[in-house]
Amino acid sequence: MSDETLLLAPLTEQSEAIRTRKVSSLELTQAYLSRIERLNPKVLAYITVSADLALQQARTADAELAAGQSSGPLHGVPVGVKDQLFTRGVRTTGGSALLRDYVPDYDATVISKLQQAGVVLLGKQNMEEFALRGTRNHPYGDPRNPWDLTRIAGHSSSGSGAALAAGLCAAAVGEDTGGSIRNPGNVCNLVGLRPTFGRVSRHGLLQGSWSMDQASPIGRTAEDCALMLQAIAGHDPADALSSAQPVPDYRAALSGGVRGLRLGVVSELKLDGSADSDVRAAVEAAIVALQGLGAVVEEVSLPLINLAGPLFVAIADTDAAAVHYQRLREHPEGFDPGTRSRLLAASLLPVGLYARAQRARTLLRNQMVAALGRFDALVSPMSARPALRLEEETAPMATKEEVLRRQFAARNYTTPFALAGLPAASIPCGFSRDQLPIGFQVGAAPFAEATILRVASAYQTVTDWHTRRAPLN
Amino acid sequence: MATNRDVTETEVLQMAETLGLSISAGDLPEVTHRFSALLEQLRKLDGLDLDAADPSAIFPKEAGA
Repeated sequence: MSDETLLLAPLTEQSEAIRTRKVSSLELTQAYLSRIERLNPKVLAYITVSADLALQQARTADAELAAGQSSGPLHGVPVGVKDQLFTRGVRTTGGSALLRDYVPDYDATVISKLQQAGVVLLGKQNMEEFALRGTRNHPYGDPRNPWDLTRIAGHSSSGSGAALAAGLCAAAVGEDTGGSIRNPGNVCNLVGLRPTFGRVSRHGLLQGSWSMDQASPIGRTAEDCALMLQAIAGHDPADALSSAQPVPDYRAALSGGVRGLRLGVVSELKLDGSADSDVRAAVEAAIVALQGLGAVVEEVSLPLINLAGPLFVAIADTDAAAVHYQRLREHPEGFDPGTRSRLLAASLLPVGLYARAQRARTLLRNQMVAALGRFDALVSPMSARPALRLEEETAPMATKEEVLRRQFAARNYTTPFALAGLPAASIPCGFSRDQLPIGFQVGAAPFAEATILRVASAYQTVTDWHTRRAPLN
Repeated sequence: MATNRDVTETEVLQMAETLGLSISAGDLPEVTHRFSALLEQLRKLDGLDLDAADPSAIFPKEAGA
């Protein structure tokens, strides 16, 4: 393939090209591997490229198609996965130097499901250490935002966002504990969808917070996300907390439109004068566009959302500190300094305060679910600013005030849905004057991922933000 | 309830020691800032009627449904 246009096209177009034999899976995979070799040194999106495995899977996919066998729309499509998911025979680092040589002997359920769907696995994508925001020096290089290489590609599924925006995979599966798939979506002009807790198996996922971690798809369009979620969703006996709720046909739900849908704009998350004016204007315009499509938009007040940042840090950081307790005791020097200070601080939290945070979490959840009895979906900004510069994100926390500014208020946008176990997605809605992507967020009731995808799809039928590509070559 | 003052580096070191954790001199200021900030933020919970809620992490209607 001399023309790389298809590599930057939505997954659905690549799938159709394979199905109709305009391109073989092998040709597509070779083209991606070539582009990865050329551009990965710039964006540092992959930790491990599984070229031999990918080529083998592509040949198999082509042979199956030639024999009239197809696994479905993902058959032969090259994708990447966050290096938090166990892959049998392919090292899994969790973005940490501590796991530099760790090679799992089994696949995460998500990986098995992707393989059943016929994908080609290009490799393991870079991430913040153990999926914890605040890594100072990524051991495998700092992932760069393809829209501006001096800026972050989101956190913590940064490699997945960077890879997709740079045209280094057709779609990806990352993970979202408190916003880790939605943030890369937001700053890389992609759709990142966090499913309901329990919708996707956590078996074989390196743990961060046992009650919030969710493997999550990221794609160029709502439809791409629908196809990826379809492949990985469903009950898994190996994950006691996975849900037995039937998995709907997400692609079929895309065409419903938003006419008559009730959308609640969260008052507490509306951007004030301190926010970036381009972000504010883009999010407001997105809401107007949805109104224009027939959605009924009203403001809704959810006061407890203002507590989400502190609750998330108290719970998720403490959970992660428990996961890494032994390593922190025995090999503290093996952690990145940012991760280490975050985990050490969380280790000190008294259990009484942790329990109080869990009680407050219940109240927050109740408030959000009650609102979702009146609204089909909740709408908010994804953040107050576009992608930060690398040095802004990775600088040490020199004062308590800096911690308060960087650690808490900024987390109120995405963490409420994670704390409440609810699905939510980031959807591209514009660009700043510096040509940095801007997204907005749509969240919904438990297992209402189809509603979110429906809103995103309707929005993408009347806007073209998601069709723009990063100026990288 | 959380304390209404910032914790000191000495207190942080003592707490870590009881947990078998060591904190280097280089990490100590940031760990202290982070822990103080978290305690300060959690004071916001003091105004809530937390007795009215169970400390839930998993919501039964979802997980395992």
